[in-house]
Amino acid sequence: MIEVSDLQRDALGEIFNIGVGRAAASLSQIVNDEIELSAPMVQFVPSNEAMQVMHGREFDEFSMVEQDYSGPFNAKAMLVFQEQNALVIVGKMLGGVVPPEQLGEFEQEAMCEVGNIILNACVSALADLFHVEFNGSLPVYQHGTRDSMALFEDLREDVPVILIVQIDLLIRQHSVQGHLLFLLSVSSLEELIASIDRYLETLGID
Amino acid sequence: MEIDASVRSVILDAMVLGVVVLDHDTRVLVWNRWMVKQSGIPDDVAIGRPLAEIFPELATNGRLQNAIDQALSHRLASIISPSIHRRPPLPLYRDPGSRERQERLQQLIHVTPIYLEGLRGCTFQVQDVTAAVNRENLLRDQSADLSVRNQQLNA
Repeated sequence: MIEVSDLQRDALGEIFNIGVGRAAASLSQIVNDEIELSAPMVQFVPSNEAMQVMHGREFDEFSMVEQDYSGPFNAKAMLVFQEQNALVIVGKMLGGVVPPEQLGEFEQEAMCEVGNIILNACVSALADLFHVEFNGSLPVYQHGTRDSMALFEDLREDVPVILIVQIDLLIRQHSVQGHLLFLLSVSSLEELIASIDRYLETLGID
Repeated sequence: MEIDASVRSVILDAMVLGVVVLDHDTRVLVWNRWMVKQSGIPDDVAIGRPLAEIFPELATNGRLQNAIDQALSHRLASIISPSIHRRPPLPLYRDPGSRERQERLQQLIHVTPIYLEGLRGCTFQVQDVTAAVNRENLLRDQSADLSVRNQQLNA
């Protein structure tokens, strides 16, 4: 397994905080109210432990927004919220009259855009600080159940490690937690680490 | 079979959605017939002009402008959904009546980067989702009514 040092992880954490900060500014502008976002924790975990790390507690359904990024390293990026949390976000963003019991097409589309804003903001922060470019696909919404999420268990060969970024979101006095996942192949993970090292070097830290 | 430019423009004009292609300086390269019809701006006026000149309000509509900037500077694609944007981003109308009443059609917009040799730009597609949004609002109102009635009954 590839080792990631505390310094490398902290650097990445800082970059993600810049990213979610940009996303918070865009989201706040859309809802005309302050939305706060932070990325308090960055972890690299073996893919078969991803589920455990994300949700130690009981859970059944998930709301996921997926985008593919390609560039110096490639990643499938996903923003994952427990469905309950996604309902809170969408409900607050839509200023919902009736709290929906599940995400209909309309709510899914809203969630798709929220995910798109957060994912693109994080990837553009990475691109800016690493001085590289990525190509990003359009977002796709997916509903996930506990069973479908078991797919992480089968990833081990192609994606040994998943980069998980915890995302805390504060919207209209409601705080919800979600996770940003980056599925990286071995070579992409190596390139990510190399990019972090080059970034640290430019800061005079190595 | 190679498709030449004139065929390509016939195809673009046949589409029932707005297709706009911008170059790196946000100048319009493609403005299909749907855009002409719904914006009221002829293609010979639009083509070659920066988008912000055609739609000055873009400067104050952060989201679409940001999405275009992100496509041009970072090659990232974006979606702009009608569900979280109360006001449709572009002044596009279904018919002269709605234009007079200033009722914009509801818009679902996809912005994607394009990078070919010699061209670095982006495209955006606009879908008219007014019918779906109206239906959704109607359902929402009905469901709100029902839940109020339910509460009254329970009381």
